[in-house]
Amino acid sequence: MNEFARDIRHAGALQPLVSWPFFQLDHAKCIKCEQCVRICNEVQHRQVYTIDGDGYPALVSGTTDFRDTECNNCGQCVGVCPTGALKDLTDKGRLPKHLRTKTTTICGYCGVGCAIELETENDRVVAVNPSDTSDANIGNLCVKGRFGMDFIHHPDRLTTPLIRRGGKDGPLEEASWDEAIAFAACRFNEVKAKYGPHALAGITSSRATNEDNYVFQKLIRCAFGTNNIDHCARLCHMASAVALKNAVGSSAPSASSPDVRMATAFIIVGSNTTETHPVISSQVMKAKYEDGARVVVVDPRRIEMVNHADVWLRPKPGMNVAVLNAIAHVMLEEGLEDRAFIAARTENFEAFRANVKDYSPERVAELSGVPADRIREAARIYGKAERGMLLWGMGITQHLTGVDGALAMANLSLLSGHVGKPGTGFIPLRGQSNVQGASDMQGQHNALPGYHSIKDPKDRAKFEKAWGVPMPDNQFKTVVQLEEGALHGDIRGMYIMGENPMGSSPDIDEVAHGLKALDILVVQDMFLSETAALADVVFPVASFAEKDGTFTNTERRVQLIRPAVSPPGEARPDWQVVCELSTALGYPMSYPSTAAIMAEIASLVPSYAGMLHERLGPSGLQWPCLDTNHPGTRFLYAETFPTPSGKATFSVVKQEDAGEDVVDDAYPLNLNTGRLLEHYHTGTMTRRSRGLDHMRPEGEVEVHPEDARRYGFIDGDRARIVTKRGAVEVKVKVTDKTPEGAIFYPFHFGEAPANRLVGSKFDPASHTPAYKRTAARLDRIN
Amino acid sequence: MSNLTSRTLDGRGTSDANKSISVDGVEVAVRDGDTIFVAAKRAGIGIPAMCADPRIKPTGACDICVVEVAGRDGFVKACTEAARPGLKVATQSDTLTAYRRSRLNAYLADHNAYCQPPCQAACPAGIDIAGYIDLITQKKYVEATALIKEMLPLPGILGRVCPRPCEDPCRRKQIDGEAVAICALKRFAADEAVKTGQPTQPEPKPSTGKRVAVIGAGPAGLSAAYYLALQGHAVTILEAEREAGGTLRFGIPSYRLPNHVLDQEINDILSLGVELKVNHALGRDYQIDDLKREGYDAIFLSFGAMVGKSAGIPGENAPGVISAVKFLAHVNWGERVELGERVVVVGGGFTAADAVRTARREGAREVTMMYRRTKKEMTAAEHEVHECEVEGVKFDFLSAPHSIVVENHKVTGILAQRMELGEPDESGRRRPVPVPGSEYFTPADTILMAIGQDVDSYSLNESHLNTNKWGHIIIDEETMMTNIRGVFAGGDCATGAATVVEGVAAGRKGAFAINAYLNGGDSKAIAAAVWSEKPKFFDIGAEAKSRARLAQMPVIDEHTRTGAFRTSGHIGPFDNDGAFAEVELGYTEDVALAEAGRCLLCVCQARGACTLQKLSIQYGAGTKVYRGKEAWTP
Repeated sequence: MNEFARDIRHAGALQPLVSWPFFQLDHAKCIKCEQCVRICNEVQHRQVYTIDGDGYPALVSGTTDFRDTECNNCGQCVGVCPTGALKDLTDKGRLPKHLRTKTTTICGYCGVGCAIELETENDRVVAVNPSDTSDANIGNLCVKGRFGMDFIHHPDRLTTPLIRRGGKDGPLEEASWDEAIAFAACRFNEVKAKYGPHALAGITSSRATNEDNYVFQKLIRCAFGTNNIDHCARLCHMASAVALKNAVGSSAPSASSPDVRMATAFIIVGSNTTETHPVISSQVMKAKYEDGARVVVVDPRRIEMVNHADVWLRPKPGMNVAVLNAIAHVMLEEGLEDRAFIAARTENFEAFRANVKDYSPERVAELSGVPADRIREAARIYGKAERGMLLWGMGITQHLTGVDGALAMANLSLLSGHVGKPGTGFIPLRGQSNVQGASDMQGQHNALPGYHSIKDPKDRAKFEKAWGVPMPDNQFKTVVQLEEGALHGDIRGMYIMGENPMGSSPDIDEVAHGLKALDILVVQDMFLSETAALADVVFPVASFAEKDGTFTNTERRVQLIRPAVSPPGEARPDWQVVCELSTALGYPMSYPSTAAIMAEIASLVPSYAGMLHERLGPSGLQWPCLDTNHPGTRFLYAETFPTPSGKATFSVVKQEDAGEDVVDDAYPLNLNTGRLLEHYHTGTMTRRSRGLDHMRPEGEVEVHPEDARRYGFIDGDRARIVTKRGAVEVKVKVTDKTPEGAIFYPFHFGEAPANRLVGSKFDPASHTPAYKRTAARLDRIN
Repeated sequence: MSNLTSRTLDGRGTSDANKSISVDGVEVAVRDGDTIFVAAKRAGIGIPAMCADPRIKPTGACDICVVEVAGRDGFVKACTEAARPGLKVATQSDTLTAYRRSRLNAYLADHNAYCQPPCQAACPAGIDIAGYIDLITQKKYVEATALIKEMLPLPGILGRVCPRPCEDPCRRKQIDGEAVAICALKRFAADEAVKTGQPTQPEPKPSTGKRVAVIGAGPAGLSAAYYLALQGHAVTILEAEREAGGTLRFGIPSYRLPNHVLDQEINDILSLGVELKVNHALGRDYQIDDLKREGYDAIFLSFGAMVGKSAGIPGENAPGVISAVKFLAHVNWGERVELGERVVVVGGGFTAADAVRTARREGAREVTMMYRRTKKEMTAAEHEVHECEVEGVKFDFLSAPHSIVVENHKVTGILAQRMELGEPDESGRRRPVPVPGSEYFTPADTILMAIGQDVDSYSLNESHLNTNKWGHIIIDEETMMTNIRGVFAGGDCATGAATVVEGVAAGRKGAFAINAYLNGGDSKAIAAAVWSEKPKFFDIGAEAKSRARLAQMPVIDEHTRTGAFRTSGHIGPFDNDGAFAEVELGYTEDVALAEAGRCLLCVCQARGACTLQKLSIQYGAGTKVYRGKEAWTP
């Protein structure tokens, strides 16, 4: 350091590097260990830090604001700093770190299931640390998990039950638990007496625990006496579940995080992994940059993962099947299929082969706009790999042909034989903390917990014996059908736990009409969500940080959550509310603890048979876990597939136009909806996090520069997105992230909800709505 | 971090029972690709390191994880050295310790920061001072007061009368010679919070059904009652005098602490449901056994040390010789005490300082403070001595009373003896030694003795409580419990006369001890409750820095560094009406905000989790290590 620089530094001229409002780096405490620089480069693979001439961390931008760089505020650098140089600005603690109470639990956001450590003081969460106890995240964390937990103590939290004593037009008034439970039970029983049990319905949540979901579906089936139950997995991955059930016999993801870390080739389709599952994306990068794995990204948007891709296929919207079939075509053409695997473990190969013959890369190039040589390159990367892994998200499922897309993915896995071995397989990336578990507990079409068939007399008898009542046998209704039923008067009473269809369901203006038409709507939530505001009864419930239970993450890993603080006011854990309501409805349910609920689940669901709470260690257990000595299962299908023949089935899927909402002169742009890094679903939690909402205070529609020029917009303009269903006013962001002719708008913003724009058309096999393709236009606002 | 390397997590590493290395004499199994660091860690042997994260490839940059390997010269970095089977590794030795210490010292030399603010460490109550000053700068006065009340329920009172041990070590002094006016800011926050009318204390927890008797409504008793009530216990305070307050009401003159402030804060505590019974004196009206019979689940003794010590000199019992505490009590009751023209106060502590200033207000023309040491050794706070000077008190230093001169049953003066300072005694102050033949006479109409206070032994006449040779109640330092189970004691009656802030701190500790006791805790649990409430502190490498380092501290705003904020507006001259009106008027908002802005907020968020801190303590690095009473175990 020269004298001049020393003087400047000592005069305090070195300003702290700030990522407001998350963290800052103060050079006075820095010991130049470079851990922050290296974790950012080597784990997050971002261009943020460099090292200045004196050995101190600096920003590549040369400024002191992290916002000038690629930083996405994950805070990994804060976590590795061995001193206090990197300071967590969201830390509200006053005690020294070692005197705070610490609770290891599982993050309540996405389906990765990261272990976190909540630091508490005086019954308040004051800081979040990553925990390296779980294999799911091995110490990594994203911006939501690390800095987005302040919703727990948000003043908007509901603290007492609310009821409308004065009928539909009356206000929501505070009530005691006894009054609110009695009120709800009485009204549900009135509807049941008048219209029969099938006029009642329940919607449960993938953010609630397995235990919550189990008792909820038990209430619907035993106390209501109907099969009218569904949950939000319907809106995201039901297409994958249906497809995988058909192809390989189980709807679950086959592989795990450790497999992701050791795969040598990836095809990532329709998943903006760095934003929606940041911790999984860092594991993909680990495989790529540490062990040379190759990555194929299939996505119409120039998502961040494209920067890390060896090959990027950018199909026109809705061309997944064609592109995936073309990859299979090339693999067969070039002899990259695993013949031994196909012969020994699969069926229906010949029909499949005949089908994909029609999908030459050249033909598909015309259809999809993806150059043929790129498709060939992608097929070679995956086909020649030692260990291939498929990851996909909503870009596959939220189409009218969502099931076909997922089947085409399964075909690739079977064709290559990249399944049932370490480092191979497929993971449909789950969006919420307990999508997998909510599906396991409550089943899909005509299913009882653990995917028991509601039609099979043997399965029915098992549950009738366990639950002591006859099982209902009505035709199952899905979320969208239930909401339509409400509109048409088929459904008269609805019980919603932790869901916000007023943000998440398609065509929400219609949803609102339906919910308002109900005789009785009971919502239980942490906040007065858009849906809860329409309810006749609102039950306040505990957040994930205030209760215990289990989440099943996207790798089938069942992990314990533990209470770190008390619920606010009179809020209670969901399962307790459900049990009390069930008892009041005339079907008594009571459990001493969530562990007792899990014991009952274990006795009924074979894949959870060994999942007793006391067995769930730091990394949890992955199902199937067949008995109390079973170590759990890291990857599925090592020897056989859970189908009658024990073999997997190739599917014949064709690229079809299933009557999608195609663009025309009146609506010339394709509207794509999705998520942002900083927000989570309908934003009930993240919009109430100071830092996260500071980063993304409002929704912005992404518009390609050519389209912006064509329709006369510049960055920052206000525009109205108009579709056949409705319109919202938003800010314009001009970017080539979205392809020409398409716009992208995130669905987190209740004041300008994306789902007001989206129609309620859905994939016929899975009933997953087609959120990714809606014809739209942009109007100027003067 | 995970005790598996990334590679073994991936299932690619293989374990071979035959492969092992020896670490500190322990055979440790190794897997393919292991480094010494990883293999040792898996076996539970932690090798110290600053930069070991299994997610990042090791480089050995920190140079702390050095170990010795048999047959190799010099040190080997454990994080990069492959664990070849058969290696014999030593992770600890004198040379390794010396090397690591030198490395840590090198880090500390460029680590210009502090773990814990010295003010908080010096505060007997452990208040989060940086925290509340930070809130003041944000104009959040209610929140600031609530934060103070977490450790100290009487912020308005202490903001006026505290001897301010926190200001002495303030690092601001190192920059511009003047400490941040921590105490005055506390008063400002409390006064502003009262003006808003918003609550500054939390709602008590639901009732536990347990009853606690607190004996004495002084600083310790009030503090204990406050924290016990917040825990949901039913508290009854038994006070011997007519009103609550103890020393605060009878010992401290109202020109320093107006009654309305005292009443306000006592009422805040009573508003939590605390019952106050006045004119109930222990030993006179009831005994401890009576309380137990009445069904109290626990008892906290905090009746203070309110009896003036006697000097044991001839003439001490003559009319005109009064103990200073008694004098102050009378004045505080509003009773007129005839002092005459000339008053001599013997002593150099807080009581003496209060007595001289009160004597001036009572109309004495010539008030002399007679102290056997010099001004430097006085235990009264510096600012109080300054106030005495301003108010025209004379000082007679190095002078001790020899005898009281009495004529016609009336005091005419005091015969004193010159002293000189000898060797330091156990308190660290130089012991005064009489100069032979130096006796001299000072005329006086009244002599006030302020040479210390004793516990009133009458209170304990039938109690079976163990006391020490000074008459203080003996308690277990760790649990605050006396020899009688369920009976706790704290404050002056257990420690001898001390400061108000120490009394408040003891009351809070007592409340935590009693809460743990009532929850069925054994002595270990009680000790833990008392122990954990005080933040432990360290201050590594924080010796006054060289000029260059000091300059790294935040840039100073010139108008904040005048240091003139302490000047107080005097009411004067000492007419009868205004004589006991409050002397210090507190800050205006502008001044308070400027003063709060001077605080360096020297507190580190990472303290307790910081690797540098942990290793520096472990290896004795750094120029200065405060560990407090409780050493920190990582």
